[in-house]
Amino acid sequence: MNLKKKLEGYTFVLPGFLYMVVILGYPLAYNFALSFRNTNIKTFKAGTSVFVGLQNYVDLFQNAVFRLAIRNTFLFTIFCLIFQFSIGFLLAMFFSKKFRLAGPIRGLMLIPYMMPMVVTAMLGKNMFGVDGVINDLVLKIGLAEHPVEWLINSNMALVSVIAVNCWVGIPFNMLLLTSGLTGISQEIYDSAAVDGVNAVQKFIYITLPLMKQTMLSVLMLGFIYTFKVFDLVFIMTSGGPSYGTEMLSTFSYNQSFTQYDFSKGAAAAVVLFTCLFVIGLFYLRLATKEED
Amino acid sequence: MGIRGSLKTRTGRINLIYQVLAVLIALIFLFPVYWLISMSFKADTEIFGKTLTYYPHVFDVSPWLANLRDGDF
Repeated sequence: MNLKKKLEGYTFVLPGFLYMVVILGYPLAYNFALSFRNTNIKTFKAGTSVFVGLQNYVDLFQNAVFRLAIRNTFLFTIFCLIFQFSIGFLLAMFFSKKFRLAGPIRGLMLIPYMMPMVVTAMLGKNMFGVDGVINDLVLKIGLAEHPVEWLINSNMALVSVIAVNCWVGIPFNMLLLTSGLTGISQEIYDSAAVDGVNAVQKFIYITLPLMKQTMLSVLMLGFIYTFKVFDLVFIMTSGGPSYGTEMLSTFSYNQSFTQYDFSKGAAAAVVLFTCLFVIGLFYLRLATKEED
Repeated sequence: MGIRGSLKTRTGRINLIYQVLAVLIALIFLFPVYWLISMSFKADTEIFGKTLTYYPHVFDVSPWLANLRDGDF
């Protein structure tokens, strides 16, 4: 390829590259560098922060709340993915059927996904309150004898934020999985029907294999989006009660903007980013393998 | 084709079941959105009162008017 063509190519790539470096690269690099220093409100003001190596990371992993945040983040993500994906898949299959109200209702089901997360979190906080509508329904139906401490009990608080996040995520999963399902030709199902294949076999041997790429994309996008949750948890529970819903994101935020230990907050953010980066690489590897 | 017509065929009956199921799913799934909208038309005394109400007993548009008059909003 001659020099002119090469330069032409680089010129087209240059704006995007500069954008990546300035908007993405610099903050990441700064955060990474910050995580190796002892920058807090005192040293930041005095300009006396020094390089401390991996001390921040050692302190983090010795911190019980940080370990709890890692556990909560993984539990939150895994349970959200399981429910969002399975319910989203079922709804996608149901609303892919051709009946009169399928289209309009499928459209209406996207409303929770379109709502701002702040509004959803405040609504969730109201509904899951001790005197909220969820407890009123639970008591009326007879599922419990006393009001459930949704946001007061540590374990139930995690269940509550998972439930609200699932409510938001199900339409997103349904939307993407619907597009995958509509991409499967009806002729394949018709041919299978001629061969005497039943509905379950069609699902296992036709739908699932042909939906593999779509499912992988949905799961990976869902994982990334869910793992870095912040606004929902921060508004509903602020990471409490008793760190029951503390996530890596809220932990990092609290370290930096409540404790004013910017370096520890940066280190927590690096751990969060590393987890997502590893998953992203894993996804790319799987996706590339599929293409080959 | 009306409901009576659709009930005559198996496909019609199945479609009707699907429609009913779809409406039920939508009602359950979108209940929080209804709750949000209904709360916006309730007075504070009704929202924070002892008895939980599932619809605004006193339809109050003053929160809407207050927000629309608010320059910051």
